Amino acid sequence: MKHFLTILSHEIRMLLVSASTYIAAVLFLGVMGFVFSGVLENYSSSAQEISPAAVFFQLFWLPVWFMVPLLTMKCLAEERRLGTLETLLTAPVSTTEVVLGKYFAAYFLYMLLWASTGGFFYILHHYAGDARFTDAGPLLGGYLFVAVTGLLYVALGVFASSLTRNQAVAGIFAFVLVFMVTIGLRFASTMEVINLDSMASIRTAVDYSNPFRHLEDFTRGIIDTRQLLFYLSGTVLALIFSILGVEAKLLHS
Amino acid sequence: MSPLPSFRAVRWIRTLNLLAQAVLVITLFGGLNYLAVHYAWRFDLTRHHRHSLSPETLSYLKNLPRPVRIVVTLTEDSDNAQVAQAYRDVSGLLREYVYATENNPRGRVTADYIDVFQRRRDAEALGITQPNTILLLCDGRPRTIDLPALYQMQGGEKQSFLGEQVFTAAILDVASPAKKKIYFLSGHGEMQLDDVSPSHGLSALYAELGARNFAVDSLDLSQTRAIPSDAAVIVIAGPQGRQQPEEQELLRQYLATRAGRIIALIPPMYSPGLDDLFYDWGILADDVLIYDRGPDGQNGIGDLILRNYGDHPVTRQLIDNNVPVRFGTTRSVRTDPGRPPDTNLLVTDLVATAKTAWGERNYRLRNAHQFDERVDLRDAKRGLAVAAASERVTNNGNLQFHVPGGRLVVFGSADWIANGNLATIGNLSLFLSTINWATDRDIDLKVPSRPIDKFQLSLSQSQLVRLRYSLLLLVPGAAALLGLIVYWTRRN
Repeated sequence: MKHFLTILSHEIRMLLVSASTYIAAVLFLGVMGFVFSGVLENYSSSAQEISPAAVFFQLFWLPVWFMVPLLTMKCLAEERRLGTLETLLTAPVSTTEVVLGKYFAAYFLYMLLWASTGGFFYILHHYAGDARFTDAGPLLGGYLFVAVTGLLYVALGVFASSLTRNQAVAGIFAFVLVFMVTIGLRFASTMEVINLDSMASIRTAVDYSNPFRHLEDFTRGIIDTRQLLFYLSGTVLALIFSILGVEAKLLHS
Repeated sequence: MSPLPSFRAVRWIRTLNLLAQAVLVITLFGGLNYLAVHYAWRFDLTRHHRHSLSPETLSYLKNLPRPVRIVVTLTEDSDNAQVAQAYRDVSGLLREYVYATENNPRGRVTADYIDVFQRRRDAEALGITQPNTILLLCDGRPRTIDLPALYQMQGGEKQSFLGEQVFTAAILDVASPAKKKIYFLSGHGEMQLDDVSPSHGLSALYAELGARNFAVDSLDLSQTRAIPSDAAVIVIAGPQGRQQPEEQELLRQYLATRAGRIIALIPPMYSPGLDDLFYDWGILADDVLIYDRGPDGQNGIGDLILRNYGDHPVTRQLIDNNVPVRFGTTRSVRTDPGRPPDTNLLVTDLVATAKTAWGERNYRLRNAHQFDERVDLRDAKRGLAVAAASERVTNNGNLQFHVPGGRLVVFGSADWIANGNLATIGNLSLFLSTINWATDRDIDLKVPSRPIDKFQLSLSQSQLVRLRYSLLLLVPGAAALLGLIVYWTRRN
């Protein structure tokens, strides 16, 4: 795995010097700033019983739907389309190192974008004059939730990218996967058919993997090992599938 | 034929190898998560473990003897913000109860969330017809939790969330095999449980008590000559005749020697024959009829609107929520000013009229009634009391608690619990609080309440605009500036 760090540092350097990264960051932060200012409008009109951080993170799915496909669709699909993946693999690097290097670079950028939203809370703290608005519990819990779930979502994006040469298809497939894992599970838990007695085990599985339920725990400062294991094992599963997918494509190309 | 396999065969063998790896990884994923469900830990990182159940609740749940199903009909997307917030509070709390009892095979707590409009059939099967209901079920026995009971109010604002205390008490109550039994006396013209008339019937009250896991029956002391051993509370609802001396003696013995609980609703114009009993317990029921000509004291049909409460567990919820009660014909019932001093007897006036009310002694006369200070009763400072509670406690020397003895609550009116008046929200709440106090249902769990934090931005319009622009421009601007620096550096 010694070449993993080389690939990772290369990918991160390419991201940090690319103009598109900063354009994406400006747009992302602009949208999230707009969302956050909308959230704070409610707090100026009447007292609320939920902290602004908890409300902000309830909208985690909005950037996830758009940023994850955009960050990951180029990962492997572009390499395969240009034919550089086979060239790269002639070097003494394994498929695992390549996939992990690209994955962690995408995850690094994903977390960098989310971490920069901490600036919003700094601004809020400056204006609110009440330390409870930036209470550490919901803030840390929310960012931890983003970090843990980001592992899975970026891995799903990399998996989608490993299946095709076309960036657009990879992006759309990543969007569908992330949509199903976020809103899809929440919708499934409200379906009437799932409340039948015969669907008890499926209902349990849906409730277990519902990210909005996990978010409630994280923003209240509760860490559950089941939720951590779910995301970590899901990440490993998606990455292994990505590696297997790339190797299968290489075998049959 | 070459002994070496062909490229094609090798390719397919390697593909099968990859497929096998995929299946194994999926199995590993499923197995790990299945194990995680049964071997899990939850860590509450908040200060004082705000969102975790207290050790007392956890010890009760660990030994829960029967499974309890909790059905919640609150919805998160309700138009009512209070209901939506209650949903979040209740669902977060119930998740802890479910997790805490996962490893208790006999006494598991499960929570179901039902939208009464989307799943009407399921709701009707459970006897739920209204939304915003919380129902506990154990072996078919129901127990309802009212939404206002979950919050401590002050000045109309929610101060703290009492959910853990309320749910733990309700779970313990419904999982307990024995139902508390309430006997309504009969034989002297009292209001009857099977009477559906709006002015005199108690059928609605019977249903409400059943929904709260009480067993209810009627009792005619002139027939039985004894109070059953399973009597948790005796209710005397609007007698029109006098209790016989031997019946009164049975009730006195019940209160004094069995730490019994009696709720007496004594309307005016009838003498209940319980004067000695009331005297023993420091309560005086005056033979007067209350009138109130003040602007806020009576409604259009002459019912008394009462808002003046004494501080007592029976009236606490009415005080917190600022809810009035409505009584029809009412007499004065108050702490007996002539009672002998007794430190073990705690008497409290529960409900009083407005200061403009008076107790008319000559109510049988047909002329228009006016206050006559020579004969009528009035308390211009505090209003006339129309209900009182008396409790005998035993102070065990240096111990920091009192051992409760008998409890007696007397109301000077009875029609407020009739079918036609029970729907008045304050009336039902007052009677249920009285029953809960009489049956010790308010278990004094040492469970801390969860204070409710309120977040509000107190900013002027210009500050709000500056905040909005800061959020939209500062952080994205910083990212843009960084991008420009990187671009310029690369160019040079």
